[in-house]
Amino acid sequence: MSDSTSRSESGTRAPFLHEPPQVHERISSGEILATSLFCLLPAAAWGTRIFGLRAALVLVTAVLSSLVVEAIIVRLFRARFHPVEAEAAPGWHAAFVGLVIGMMMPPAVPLGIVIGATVFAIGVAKWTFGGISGIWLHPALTAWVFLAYSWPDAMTRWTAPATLPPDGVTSATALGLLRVAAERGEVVIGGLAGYLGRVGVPRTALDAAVTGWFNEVVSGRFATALPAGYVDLFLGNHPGAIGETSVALLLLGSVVLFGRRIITWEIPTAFFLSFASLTWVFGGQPYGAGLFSGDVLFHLLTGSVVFAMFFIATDPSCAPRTASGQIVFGLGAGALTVLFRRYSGGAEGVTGALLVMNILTPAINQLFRPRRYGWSLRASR
Amino acid sequence: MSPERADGKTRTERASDTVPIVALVLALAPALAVSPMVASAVVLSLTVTISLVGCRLFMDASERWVPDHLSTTVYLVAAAVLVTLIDVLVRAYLPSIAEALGIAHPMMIVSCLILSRRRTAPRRQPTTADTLRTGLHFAAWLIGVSFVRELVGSGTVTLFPVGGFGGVLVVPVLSEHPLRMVARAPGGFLVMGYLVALRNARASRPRSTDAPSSMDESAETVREERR
Repeated sequence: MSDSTSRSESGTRAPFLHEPPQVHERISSGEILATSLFCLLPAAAWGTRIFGLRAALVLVTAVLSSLVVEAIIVRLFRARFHPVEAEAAPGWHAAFVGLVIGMMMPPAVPLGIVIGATVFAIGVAKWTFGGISGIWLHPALTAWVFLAYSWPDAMTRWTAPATLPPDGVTSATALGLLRVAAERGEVVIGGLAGYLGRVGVPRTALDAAVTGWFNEVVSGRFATALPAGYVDLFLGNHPGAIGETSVALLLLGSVVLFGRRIITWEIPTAFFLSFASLTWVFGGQPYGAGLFSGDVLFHLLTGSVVFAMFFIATDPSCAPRTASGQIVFGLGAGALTVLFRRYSGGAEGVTGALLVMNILTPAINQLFRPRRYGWSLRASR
Repeated sequence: MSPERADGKTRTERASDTVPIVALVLALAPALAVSPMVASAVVLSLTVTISLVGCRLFMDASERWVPDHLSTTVYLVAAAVLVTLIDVLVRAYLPSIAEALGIAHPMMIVSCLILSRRRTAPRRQPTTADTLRTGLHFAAWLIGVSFVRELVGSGTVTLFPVGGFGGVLVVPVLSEHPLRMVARAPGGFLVMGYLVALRNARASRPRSTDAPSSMDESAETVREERR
């Protein structure tokens, strides 16, 4: 099922011409997918480091099983790869989706669920709609939501990372703990990470060292102080999904993506702006503080916001095409994330927010079409 | 919907072409509402079939006294009477199922399926046999969807308690790890979507020997309309 078959079927076309649209791309889709995959690897490796070999097993199972599922579907239904995908080595997309699924899983998840997720992602979300060109919901997100609502217990069983001193208190995620606090109506003052410290979440020595250094060198000049705990969150020393804990390594990967111009600034920036501003305005309310007192840094460093912002929201097959559309997409995703984090059933809201925006993408594409050159808007109406 | 032939009679359609769930993706709401339980799907589809045929028979019998411009009204009243009658009976004798069905059951009065089988013009009179076939197809689809959804979504098959049999079959492996999403509304759309896809794939498969049948044509028209 390579591109050659589809070309020989079309017959009349000259053999040296690519099927239209004949656009010169500086980078092939296979390269894009492969680079994205390698940019995810540092964060995935960190997940393996703190959660042990079990996490590696989850990741490997996810990738292999998506490749196998895709091979089976292509064989069974004689599915044809889209030229874009066939031209690059087919399989990169399945591997990428598999890795994303693996990184969104809690480390102790049963392997059956991982396999089920890949079957759902590749079989239902990707190939039911005709492969890479037909995807309208992000496959990994769709699979994750489907499984999280089917087996909520297994999908929220977290493991304490090996880098933290054992405390025996909790292996709940930071967001989960905060949600409990909000439900109890507890008043949290002095930063949300400070609250985590008070309820007994351990911290590494590195966190104390870096925070101390930072306060001495940088923030002392601005008469503020960074509370303890944020460095651990930033580096990834906290319980969570395998690939989402280390914001630092995810940012590293995203720098490469930006550098190679695989992702553009519109979606992440708009996402960040709306998420940060709305969190700042409304984020303090559940913890007894007023408006304009939300802990933006904490909400950015916990959960899967950074992961989703750079690696999921930017997926070209289910995000708007034009720059203005992408900005709308990002703004909506950020706003909905804040909304869902506060009011939805689970502690994390990014997945739901992005799925909603994926559904709205065709409408956004309609509304934000590029203006035709030489046409004024009024004249065309 | 029903192409007319030169002699003015409506061509006999394959019944599955006119099952709204499949052909038009109509009548989805009751199908989604009831289908996580096989037993309630059976009751609902029986209600629909009985009221369809009952209304048809009543309209045939009363044709002489009902003027054309009132036929829809009379048809609706007949449907309302029949559905309400069955609803009262179900509430009396199968209270648990009546509870599971809730408002979906009396709402069958305004079901698209029943409305679509009313007489719209003198020459468009659906025959009793056609109506019965439509009802039975609706039943088959509804029960099929609910069977898949209940089996995968909760690992059971709920039937009616008869004698020593409690009414619920429990499937060993599936009931321990049910895919709960399938039993909810999104799962209903999913299962229904795949069944429709399966049917369309079968309908649009080219046949080697015989001339294109009505199924192929209808599938073609649907595709044309989508464009």
